[in-house]
Amino acid sequence: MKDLWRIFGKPVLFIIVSTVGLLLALIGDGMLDVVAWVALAIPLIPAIAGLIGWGTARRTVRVTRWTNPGALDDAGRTTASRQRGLHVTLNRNDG
Amino acid sequence: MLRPETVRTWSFVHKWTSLVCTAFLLLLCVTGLPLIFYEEIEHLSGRHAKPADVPPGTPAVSVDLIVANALSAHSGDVVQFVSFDPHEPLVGVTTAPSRAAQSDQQFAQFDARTADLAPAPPFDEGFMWIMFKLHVDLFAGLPGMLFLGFMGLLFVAALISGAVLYAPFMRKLEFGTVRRDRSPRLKWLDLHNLLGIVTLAWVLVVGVTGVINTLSTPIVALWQRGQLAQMTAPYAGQPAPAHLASLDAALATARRAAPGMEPSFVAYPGTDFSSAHHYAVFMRGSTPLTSRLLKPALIDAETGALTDMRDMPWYAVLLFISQPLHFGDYGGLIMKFIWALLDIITILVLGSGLYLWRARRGTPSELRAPGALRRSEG
Repeated sequence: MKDLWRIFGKPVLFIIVSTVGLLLALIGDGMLDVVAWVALAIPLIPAIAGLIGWGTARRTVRVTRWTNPGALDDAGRTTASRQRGLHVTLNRNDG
Repeated sequence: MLRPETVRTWSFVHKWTSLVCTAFLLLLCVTGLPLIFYEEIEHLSGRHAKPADVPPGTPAVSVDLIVANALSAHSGDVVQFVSFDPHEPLVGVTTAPSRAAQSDQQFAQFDARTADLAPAPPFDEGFMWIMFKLHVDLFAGLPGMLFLGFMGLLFVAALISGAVLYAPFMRKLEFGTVRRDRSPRLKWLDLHNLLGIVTLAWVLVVGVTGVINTLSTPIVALWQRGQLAQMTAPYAGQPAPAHLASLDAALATARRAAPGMEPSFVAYPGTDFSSAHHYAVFMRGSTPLTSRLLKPALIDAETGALTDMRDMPWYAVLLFISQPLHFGDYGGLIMKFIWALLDIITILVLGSGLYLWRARRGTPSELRAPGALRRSEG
């Protein structure tokens, strides 16, 4: 169950946000339209980031900084728990 | 987590539903892209009727006068429908050799303040018409619409199976991972998963509402045989009126019966949307949602009296709500741009799916399960 939430947690959030956006603009105009635009545009962020390689570049730079180059390949294929640990460490470094 | 046999079953569903519908879905996405901006393109290319330049606040003229002008331009014809543009002071009049005629119809628009003809090229020609017909029925009428509806159903099955398969593919990956430093196939697999999952809600809504829109002809037929037949039953067998009452008076009666609503269009007596004895005035609301929900008011075309007015049944409401949710024309120009971006992303998901299928055909079957794939290529 925990694994399922890890996999589908963010996608479910995008589904909820998109649905809210689709419905808000139907209800009224003005500010509701603006909120609908923002809600519908939110899923575009990870999509465009994935297409232009923004997320990948950031991850590679961080991993290189954090550990030895040999660990880079391993990180991409390691277990979910190790990946989560990696991100926690990186976030601490950012802070 | 899913068992390997279950994954294989979902993979089978995803592969075949996708393969069958992808070419048609690509066509729908590509033709749908200009259709998102239909009004803007028609305006920019000068193919849209322009209201006359008159001083602001100029009142509307009698609709009866506009109808008379339309008939004078097509002597011998009768009026079938009168429609009211929701955004501009334009009144459309459809005339034909007879009320029941399904061909030889003429459509013209008139300025609501001057009753003068607002000329525009015929809507059934040019680039946008080709895009529209390809998108709606592949130039094949009702069979084409129903066929595209079936393709839409397959697409929905492909989306659901794709969402199920997202889990085993992402079991060991963080959300948003795109392994672009490996093989091109792995990069496009990750992009296919990422783009597909983040746009899932929008694509599902546009897909399902598209399927509902392909059923518009059967839905209208169901309404005609159901609610419309009930509303006009007391007038069954009565002769058509010898003289038609004023349309302006009928519109005023409908407005009084439905406060806060405005006429969307009027079906004349003897047409498919009315009885032989009634003006059917279809009223619409003022919000993005209620402006799509039509409410028919039947006006006795001889006396001008209201005889019945009802909310339309659930299946018609479902169709009306499906239209804006499919077209994306209910939240201004910015929403249309977002719609277009989401459409382009869907094209990428469809294209990458095809690429992955072609690339995978050379992969031994034992390496095709999600887990095995990562072990072998990752």
